[in-house]
Amino acid sequence: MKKPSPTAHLIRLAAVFAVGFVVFVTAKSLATPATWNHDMSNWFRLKSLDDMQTQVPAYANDNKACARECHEKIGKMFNKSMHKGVSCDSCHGALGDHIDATKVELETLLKGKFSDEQKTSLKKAAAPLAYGWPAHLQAAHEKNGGTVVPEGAAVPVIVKNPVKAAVMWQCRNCHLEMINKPAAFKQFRLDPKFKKHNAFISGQVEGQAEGQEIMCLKCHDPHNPTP
Amino acid sequence: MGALGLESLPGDAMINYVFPNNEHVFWSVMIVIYPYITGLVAGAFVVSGLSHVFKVKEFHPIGNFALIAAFCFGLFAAVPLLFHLGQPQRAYEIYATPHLTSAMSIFGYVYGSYMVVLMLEIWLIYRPFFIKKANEGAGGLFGLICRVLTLGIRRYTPEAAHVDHKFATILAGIGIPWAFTLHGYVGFIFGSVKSIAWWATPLQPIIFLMSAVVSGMAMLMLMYCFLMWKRKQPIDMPMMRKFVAFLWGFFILDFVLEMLEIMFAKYEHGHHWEVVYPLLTGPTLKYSFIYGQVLTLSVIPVVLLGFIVLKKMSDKMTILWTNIACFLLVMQVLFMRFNVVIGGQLISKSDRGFVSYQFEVLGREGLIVACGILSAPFIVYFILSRFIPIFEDPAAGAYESEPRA
Amino acid sequence: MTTKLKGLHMNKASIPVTGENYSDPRREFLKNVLAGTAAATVLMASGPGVAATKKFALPENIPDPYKAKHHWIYVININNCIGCGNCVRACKRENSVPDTVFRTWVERYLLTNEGVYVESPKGALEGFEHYNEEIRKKAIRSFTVPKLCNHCHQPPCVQVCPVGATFKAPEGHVLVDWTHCIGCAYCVQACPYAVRFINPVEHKADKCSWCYHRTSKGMRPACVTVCPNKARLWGDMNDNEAEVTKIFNEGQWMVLKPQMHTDPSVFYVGLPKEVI
Repeated sequence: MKKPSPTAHLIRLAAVFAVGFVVFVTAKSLATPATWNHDMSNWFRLKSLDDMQTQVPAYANDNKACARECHEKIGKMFNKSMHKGVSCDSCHGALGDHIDATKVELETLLKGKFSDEQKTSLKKAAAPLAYGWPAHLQAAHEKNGGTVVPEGAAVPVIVKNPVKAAVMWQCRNCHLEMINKPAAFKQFRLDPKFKKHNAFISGQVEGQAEGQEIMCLKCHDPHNPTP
Repeated sequence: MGALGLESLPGDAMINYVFPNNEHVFWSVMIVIYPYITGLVAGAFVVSGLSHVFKVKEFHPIGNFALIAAFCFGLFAAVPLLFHLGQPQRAYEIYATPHLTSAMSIFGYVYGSYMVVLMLEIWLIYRPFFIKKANEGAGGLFGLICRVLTLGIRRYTPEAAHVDHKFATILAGIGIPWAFTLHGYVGFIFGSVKSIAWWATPLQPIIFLMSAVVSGMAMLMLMYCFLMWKRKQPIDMPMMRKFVAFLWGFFILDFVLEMLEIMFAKYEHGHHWEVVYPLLTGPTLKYSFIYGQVLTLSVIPVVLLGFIVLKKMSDKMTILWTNIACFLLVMQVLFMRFNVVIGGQLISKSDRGFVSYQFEVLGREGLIVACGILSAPFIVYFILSRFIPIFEDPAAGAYESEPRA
Repeated sequence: MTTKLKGLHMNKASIPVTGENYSDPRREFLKNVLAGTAAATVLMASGPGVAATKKFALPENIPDPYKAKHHWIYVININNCIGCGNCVRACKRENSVPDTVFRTWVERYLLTNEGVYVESPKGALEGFEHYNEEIRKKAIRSFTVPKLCNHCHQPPCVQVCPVGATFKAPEGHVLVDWTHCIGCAYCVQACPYAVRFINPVEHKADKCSWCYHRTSKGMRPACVTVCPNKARLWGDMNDNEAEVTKIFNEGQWMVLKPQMHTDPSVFYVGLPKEVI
């Protein structure tokens, strides 16, 4: 066998590298997503902006969506009340949960335009629970078969109606006097003049039998809270 | 005494406050051993580079050993990362769409090309061996690999050897800065994160690099002594003495840089010191950093190595103290990786609290997986050493070897 | 002949008689000073002016149809926040955020003579309870601070993403592409505000997206929608009538961790100095 040239093996090596390079470059271009933005200062897949828009919103954008077609009376009252800046969703839970989210068109969430079919099925649907419940209330509701013991109450107050209990929690969550809340915000504090509010805070109900509703709902309708 | 046994919390905090998303330590044991393994690669390659490029003749007998060890460590450098990634099947994206503003994005290309350089150098040095084995008709998988690696050239000539030697030297020359990049960029990954005070320093790449060289050299020496003991062969004392001198020098640099970072932070007494001081004196790093990394694993070896280098002692004593010092250093670098990677994340970005760390034993990023990954390079080395000559000349008998008719 | 230059006295010999080649040194001097001042003023104004425009500049060179039509910003008014936690609950529901991680949360601060007491129980998912008596006695002031991703204009998270999975979108959002994220968590380390996390269900980086799926359709983010007291505001800086634009232009705002130079898009009104 004649002697191979001193660089023969390196030439063959170079050929192997050339093949490997071609394979690599092909694989790389196949692996790069189609809509890639090849600008190092804005390095991303452009189509991801479209993909992200397919996530279905759960909350309405404003109260018109709830009020316009199905809850007109309450909506009108609410809009004139002190609570008009509060979104329906924040107490009643996401609008998308109230109506089957997968069947809701975006128009509905934005403008409250329901089809007749949707209105019919909505009338048959269960009343909305307050999904704004904190986890411990939800868990207690399930565990206790509908009775709830609000946390922080000095004396446990059993409430038979879980919806009202959750609502009461929400009244308290915003309006119970607390040192971190801005002074200008309407808060209820312990004040001998307001015996009824005291009871609400302490959990002790004067002249009320156990199992009866908590005070705030007796005088205040959340949709028109001025008593 | 405040929370977590700390004397005072930063930011006038009365209670240990950690941001809600800070409670979990996202970079844990896998990210501790990843720079450790690439450090071993860099360190071993430096020894081979000192031999092949800087012509330190005492290191010639271990030049190939260092290369093979670097290769074995290098095979597993990416494995901890694959265990860490939330989506490891997408790891190829680092090759497809690397975002060059990120230091981490160069990992794919630097690691890949470094392994190519390393494998090329090994191929050039071991080519005569593959030719000889192919001509002898070695069987099985080993024979097939040898035949493939000859690329069809079955004769080894002195002229070709000369070309190979030149090319290998050039590769070794490229390989040193490339090994430095492979490990130094890791230091950059940490050092450039302005939001973590314990990481953010321009010294970080150099600290990581110096400790990498130290760990690689120390590990190499431990391996060498073990192998010589197993093979019942004498230890090359001139090599060992030269080795220890280099190791001491690199470690002085490493230790000084690590202490320098803390000295600057303490002297400037700025925001960094506000959060770093409670970290270093806190319940975790007081033990792993102050008592562990610094007092036990840095002060003792730096004195010990100086002793070995400067004082005349018998071969037996030299071997004993060298092994002790190398073991301490191998642990020092591991502790350092832990203290930096995990220590940094213990500082909450609230600047008012600290997180405590729990080791995970089982699980994808647990200690058992870490031990497995750390042992793998040694297992591969053991297998390789059964097939190829490491301390013997790979070209022995290759010139005369001819292909069978 | 020369006279000493003193005040307005000039070297008579140097004053030409005719109008040609007239160069009054005083006038020259004043001209130069004026020119220099004008130049310096232009530079001073345009420098920061350019910087100011550049500071809040949105990504350029994005092809149609993704080009920006809005420049969104977010305002938080600490004086209005009551710590009810509606925002945290809404965000959890809207974006299916798992337990133990938060796209937004609310912190409560209590300032005392001895120091600052900060807490965020479950991110304020269930609001806040009363402080215990001992702590309440020491109180000087207390307030709540909502936190969320600041959608910075110089986002460190975008800079460090190795594969381009997180990016600054044309209208200001900093987003995560879940089909591309490898879950390395480098962005989580880089964020100075700890708003990012690895989603424990998806194993990908996650964070507040300013509800991109809502805002890209003209809706407001869920947290803004449910805030009862206008503590969280959303709007387009290109719209001069927008409330957020007016607040921004008044200039009485602060950003979090300004020393990090991340140029946030979330502006805090009434931010106390103790907030980090």
